[in-house]
Amino acid sequence: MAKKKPEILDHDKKTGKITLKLRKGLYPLDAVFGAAYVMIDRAYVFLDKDEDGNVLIYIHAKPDEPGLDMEALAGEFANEALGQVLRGRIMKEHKNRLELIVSQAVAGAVGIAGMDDIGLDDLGLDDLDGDDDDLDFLDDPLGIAVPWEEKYKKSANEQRPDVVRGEKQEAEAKEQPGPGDSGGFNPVDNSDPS
Amino acid sequence: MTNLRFHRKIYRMGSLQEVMDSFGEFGTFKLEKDGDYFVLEISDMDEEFEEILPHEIANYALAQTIENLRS
Repeated sequence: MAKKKPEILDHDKKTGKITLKLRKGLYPLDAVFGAAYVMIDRAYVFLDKDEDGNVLIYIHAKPDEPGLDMEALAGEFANEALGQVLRGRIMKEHKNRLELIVSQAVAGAVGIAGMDDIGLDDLGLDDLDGDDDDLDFLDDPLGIAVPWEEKYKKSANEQRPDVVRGEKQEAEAKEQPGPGDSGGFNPVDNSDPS
Repeated sequence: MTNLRFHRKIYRMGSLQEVMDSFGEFGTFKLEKDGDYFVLEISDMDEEFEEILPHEIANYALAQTIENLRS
């Protein structure tokens, strides 16, 4: 029965080189690439194929990592390849869902960020931008904070002439003596006019 | 002189071209096809890098192949 797990073809302990064989069809090439890519910072990785189409992986320790356990590294490579296979399957199964989530996230981000590009002019908000920048929050240009009595007493007198007349008459009446006043006797002249 | 054999079903020609461009100052490079393989011939290598350079080139070729496939 053919071996299905990754096979160590050769391990040269002197040179620190190990050769793995992955059976054809068990691991997609993308998974092998993914595993190799993870490993190339720690070791030299070289890929090949044999006559049967099986993938051969040559892993060679780097000079600055002399104590590297090559068999452990080979096991790690196989694990990583398996993880890449699973990741690929999940991506494939949920491709549409993932694309939808990403596109919604991007659209949401563009929607918020895009407000800067729109500009207030486009929304007809020019009147709200810049004209009142000199106003302090205590300023009251519309006189909203002025008490009603103060506001309308003054303005009402100015606008109502009858009130003005009344006050004027009142003022004039005060100057002339009334019936009750002892402001002087003013007899009626009944002398004969002939 | 060192020959590196890259399987054509794994490594891409474009990636090997990039390798030659990037490592040009470290030696003389020549790329040929031989059946299922691309053969990269490296000559006039600096003695200081002779041992390590083929490995670094192979790693770089693999990385470029993967990145080109993903982009």
